Parts: sequence; structure tokens; C-alpha cells
Amino acid sequence: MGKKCETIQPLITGFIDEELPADQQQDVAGHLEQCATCSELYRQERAVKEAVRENVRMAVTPVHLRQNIRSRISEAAASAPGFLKALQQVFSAYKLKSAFALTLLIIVAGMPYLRTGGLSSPHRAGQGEWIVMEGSAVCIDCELLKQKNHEGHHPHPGAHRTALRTKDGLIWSFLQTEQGIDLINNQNVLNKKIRVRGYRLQDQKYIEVEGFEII
Amino acid sequence: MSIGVMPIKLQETAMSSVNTREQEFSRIAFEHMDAIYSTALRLARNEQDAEDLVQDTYMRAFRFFDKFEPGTNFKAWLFKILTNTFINSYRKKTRQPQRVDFDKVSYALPEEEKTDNHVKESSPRNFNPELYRKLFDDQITDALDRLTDDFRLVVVLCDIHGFSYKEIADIIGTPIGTVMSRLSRARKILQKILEEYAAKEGFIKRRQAE
Repeated sequence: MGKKCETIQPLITGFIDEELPADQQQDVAGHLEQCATCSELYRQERAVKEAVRENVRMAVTPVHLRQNIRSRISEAAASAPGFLKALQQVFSAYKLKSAFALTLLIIVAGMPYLRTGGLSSPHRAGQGEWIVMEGSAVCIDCELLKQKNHEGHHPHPGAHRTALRTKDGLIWSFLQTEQGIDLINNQNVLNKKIRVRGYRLQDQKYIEVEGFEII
Repeated sequence: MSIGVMPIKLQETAMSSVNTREQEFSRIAFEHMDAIYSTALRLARNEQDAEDLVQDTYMRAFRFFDKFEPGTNFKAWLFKILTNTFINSYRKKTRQPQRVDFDKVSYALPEEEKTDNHVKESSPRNFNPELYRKLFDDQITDALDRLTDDFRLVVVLCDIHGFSYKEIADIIGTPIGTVMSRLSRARKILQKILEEYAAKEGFIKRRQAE
């Protein structure tokens, strides 16, 4: 194998994808015309690329998956603390991103003081009250489907999403924080009695989960 | 039993910003769902994990939507989240048996030998690029699935979705040179697998011991 081949062969991949700088692209093209070994390598690699490109089909997203994502996003959008968004909007309106970040930083930095300070229960500024709630862990989709359609419901596609049904019949969803998502996806607690600790989002049936246990 | 009706006490300003963000996200993110799902299928290699992966990707993307810089490549940003999600949480619990690491098998040779060996091995006298056309598309997909994750990922991003090397480097977090060398090796391994299949189907004669 000639010296030229040694420099050209590592470039063949980039040449095929037209990713080399113009002069290198020309250099490789020139060499391929003269060298049978390198042009054979080029032919083979290009054939592999074309085989993949032409034969591996794009899949279509299943309808239930698309719907699931749509509804989970709507849910997440509605459940994030309104206070935070209102604040964010005020600042973004004036393009004061850094001012927003700073304000947020001050609030977040201040939280430990609020929570450990003289207050009788941990309480965060404007973000709901500290609660400990007990009830049954249920799947929110199953519950809603049951309500919608009294005569026998169809099982929903996809995994169950845990929520908390309290004695008064209300259903509480969990905000999708790290701990919240863990609880939502936890299939082992379904239909068991659980105790959830966290923050109740103001005026909403949502809990920002700090911890939970089966009772 | 009753479900608590969501109180309409939310400040209207806050509510409208919620809607705008959700609508904006849905508008630009949902059109890429087939591409994301197709890639998730190739990464996870089974439908259930792929669906979970797509769902997690979209929830994460929505959560971090504020961090997306308008004017930059949104599709690449979404793929980056998909890739990170896969690497961080799915790779570990993959439900399929460990794949053969062709990289170790075929490339455990010193640098010079490797190249010489490669030239000899991959040049069967009757090689014809047309032979791949005779393979079924699921055989090609299957060959792709036999690559290790790193190799499969660059091939999917480059050859199926047409991302540039720079975009791929950004998505997988490596230098551009690494993208090119990985692609090059991945295609060589794929070529071997495809030749095996073609030989099995009788399209080319098995290589004689040379």
C-alpha cells in the first residue's frame, strides 16, 4: 500500500458523506480515479451506507403514545407552580433573564431558612403548604376512565400512573419532580394505602412529593 | 366519589404563559416524533422500551424547554436529549442479551495489520454493491441492531436521519474526528455482517480460505 493510500483511506468515510474541506474532497476524488484498491474500499463503504439509507424504514409513532405524551405535557404545563411562571413572565417580558435568575436564586437560597426557621411547619414562599396525606394509591388514568364511562371501561394503553385518592374521594396528582416521577411510575404501590409527604400546590390538586411510604 | 375540579383561581397572566409555552413546544417538537420514535426503536431494540424512551425524552425536553436557545437546531437538541436519556437510564437495563462486540473481535489488531487485514478480508473477488439490494430490509435492520450502541447510534444519525458530522458530534458529545472514525468502523463491521447474510442467502460464494 502506497504512502498516498495511507493518507487517503482514513478520509474515505468523510468523502462519502461530503464532510471534508473542498481541497481534501478533491484530493480524495483524484486519488480514487487512479487507485483500484482505494476505489474498491470506497465502493464498498458507499454500498453499506446506501443499503442502510434505503432499507431501514422510519417508523410511525403509535397513536396511543402520541396521545399519552400530549396529555402528560398538558398536565405538566398545568401543574408547575403558577407563582414561578408569573414571575418568569414578568421578567421575560422585559428580557431580564439574568434578573429573573437572580431573583430565583435569592428565593431558592432563602428556602432553607424559611423551612428550618421559626415556622411551625416547613413553608415555602408562595408555593403551597407542607402536608402529610394518607389514602390509596390509584392509577389516575383508570380512575378517570371509570368516571367517564360507567358501563365497563377499557384498559388504557401504557403504564399506570400513580395518584393519591383520599378518604373524601378527591384524587391528588403528583408534580413531576424527581421524587414525583418515581412515585408516579411506581407500580408496586398501586391499590395500597400510602402516606405522602410534600407540598400541596396552592389551589391545586397537586402534591410536590418529598417522600412517601406504604402504610 | 368526585374528582376535584381544578380551581380557576390561577392568575390569568400566569395561565396564558403556561399555554404559550405548551403550544410553542408542541408546535415545534411533535413534528419530530416519528424520527425520535424510529431512533428510539433502533436504540432500545424493543417497542416497550422505545415507547418509554420517547415519552421520557419529550417530558425532559418540555421541562428544559427554557434552556433551548431559539434559532439553534431544535431537532438536534431533541436528539441530544434522547441520546442522553438512553445512555443514562436505558442502556443499563436493556432487555436484550448482550451484543457481540465486533469492535473487539475484528479490530484487536495492531494498527498496520488492521488495515492490511481489512483490505484483504473485505475484498471478495465477486463483491458487488448491488447484492445488498437483494437482502430484505429487515435483514439490514437486523445487521444494524447487532452493532454496539455507540456504533449503531452514529450510523442511525448519519445515514438514516442525515445529520452532519458537526450535529452528530454535538448530539453525542464527542469531537468531529471521533464521529468520522466511529462511522468508518461501524460501516466496516456492517459490511461484514451483510456479507455474511448475503453468503447465507447464496448471493455470493463464501470466501475461500486465502
